[in-house]
Amino acid sequence: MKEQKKKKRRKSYRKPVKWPFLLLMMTVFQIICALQIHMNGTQEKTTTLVVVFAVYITVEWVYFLVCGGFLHRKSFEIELIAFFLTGIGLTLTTSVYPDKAYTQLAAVMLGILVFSVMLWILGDINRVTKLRMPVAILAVLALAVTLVIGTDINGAKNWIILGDGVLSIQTSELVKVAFVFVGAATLEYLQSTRSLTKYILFAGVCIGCLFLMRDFGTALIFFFTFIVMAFLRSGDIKTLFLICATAVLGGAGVLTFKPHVAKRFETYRHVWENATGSGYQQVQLLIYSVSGGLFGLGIGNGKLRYVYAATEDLAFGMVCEEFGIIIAMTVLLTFVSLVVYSIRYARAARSSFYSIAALAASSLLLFQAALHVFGVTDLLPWTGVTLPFISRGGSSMMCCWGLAAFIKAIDVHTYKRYDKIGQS
Amino acid sequence: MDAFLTQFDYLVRYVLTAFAVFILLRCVFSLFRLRPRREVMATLTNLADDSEIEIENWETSIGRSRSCDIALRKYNTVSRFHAVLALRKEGWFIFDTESKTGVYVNGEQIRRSQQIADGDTIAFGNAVMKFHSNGYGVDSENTEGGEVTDFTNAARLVNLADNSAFYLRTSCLIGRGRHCNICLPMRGIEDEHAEIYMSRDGWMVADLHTQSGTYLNGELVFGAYALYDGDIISVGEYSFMFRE
Repeated sequence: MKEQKKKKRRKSYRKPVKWPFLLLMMTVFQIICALQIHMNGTQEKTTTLVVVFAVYITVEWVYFLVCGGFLHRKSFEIELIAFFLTGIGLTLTTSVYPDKAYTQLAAVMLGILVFSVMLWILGDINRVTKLRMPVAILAVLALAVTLVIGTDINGAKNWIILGDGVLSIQTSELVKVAFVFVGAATLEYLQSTRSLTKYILFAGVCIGCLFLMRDFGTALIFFFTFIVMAFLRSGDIKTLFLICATAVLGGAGVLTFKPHVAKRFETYRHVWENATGSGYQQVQLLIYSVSGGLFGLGIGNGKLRYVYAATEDLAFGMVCEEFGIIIAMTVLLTFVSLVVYSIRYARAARSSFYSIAALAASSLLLFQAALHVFGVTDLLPWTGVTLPFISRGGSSMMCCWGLAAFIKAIDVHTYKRYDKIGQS
Repeated sequence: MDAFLTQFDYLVRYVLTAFAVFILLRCVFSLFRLRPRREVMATLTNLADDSEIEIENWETSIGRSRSCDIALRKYNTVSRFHAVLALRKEGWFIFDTESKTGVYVNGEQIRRSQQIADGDTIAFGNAVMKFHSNGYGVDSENTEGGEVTDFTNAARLVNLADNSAFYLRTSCLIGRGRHCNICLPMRGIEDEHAEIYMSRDGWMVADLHTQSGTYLNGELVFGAYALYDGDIISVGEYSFMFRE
């Protein structure tokens, strides 16, 4: 009996997800969220609430109907995860910042567009090879332009604001996608060039620009991604140690000779001593995320929402307080599982480009999530990076969906043209 | 009404948590549902000693270095990183990665890359190999009236004994009879033993009321079962892996 049960379980475990069922569950989840927002009255305009959720749910269904029903794609796990996390973010934004709901919805749609376009680009390896150089130049140019005309918000000069604040872009987020795109390469390219010089130069320029903008969180993420990619490209531990040692020495040097940089991190490990000053946000987060308990207080019942930047820099706390720690931990587990998935699939990928890109993209997401969570909980210096997919922000949303496309592309089954005969 | 709303507000958090955990974990488990198995996609036969090298990756590096996938350590005319053999959309390609002695396909030196076909002879320095593609990347344009088909990811049965692949079209009969698509002249297998066919829900396997039965992943098949990538179908002493 037990044996049979075990077998049954193993069998159901082996089946791929059926998207209509899970999508239906997801829709119910989002409708319940919308209902709760409505009942708590945190979003006063009912039309906004209805429009935002109706449009988002429609987009989900259209995407899955087109890809599943029309294009006959088979695996949908990555999209389901991305749509679900984005839905949580959208719920929080709609509830906490009622007037910014439409902006966030537009950002989400752009993100999904980026995802679809990226998937199309990644379909053909020749196209990818041709595009690498222009993308690298564009990325460096974008960062350089930001450095010149960027606007300083919250101590980091990484925003380009166009048309009196109608459109604000955080270029460093968009460059993340380009960084992964340029860093990955096909095996024959890796084997004919063999040295990392060009890539180190490109990464150095990017990270240097970010440092000059004083966007240390993103600089750290870029550096980590760079280490991952450099290792995947060369397998050369010695050079990597050298680079790490240089970076640590450089960082220590900057902290000693430029005290104003060190000042940004002075509350690290001392938030409770500055509970009303510079450590205010983190202290509030630590208190309120605990008060959420296992199952959360329900959307709209939390207190953390009144703290500045609640759905951006403190998004993890918001999830903890209003959705509960179980959901928050499951979300983090999902980021870990994306990395494990990329590692497992790396050998079966169509080209080393896909393996490197997927692994770099998933570890970038994981590292960013870790930096966010450990930053706000004061285990690491707080750098104000966003929680992928959940935090509010247009550029960051597009970046996350763009990176998800890399993870999706590692699976050969993503592209129908590789199993044409199955239909005939 | 008020009481209902309070109850709703109270209960909804458990419902949301249950839904969220179910959706996310279902997706995560589904991501890991099978280890991406690899098959022999092509073989290189070393003409010097007739030894076969099996190629299981889409991209394979060839060279004298230990870190190459195919390490030709005994040949001193092979560069450390000599060439890359890659399967692309159009078929198999060989790339010369700036080797000293060059890569020759059928006796002619290639410049940077060249498409290769089944049966071509490829020389890396003084290591000479014959290339056989195992049904992958084969362009059947010439044989099937202009229809371009790529077998790379098609639904197929892989015989686990010798790794040979049988490509599935609409339905496939397995049995002892000569008219069967896969003919297995063995005792214990009936004339028409099992059928694999395409239904609305994807590929299915059906046992055709046999004595010895058909097994799917070690489980006896009653009626028809759905097939998923990596499933193992056993008929008599034979085992096939279903791939799609």
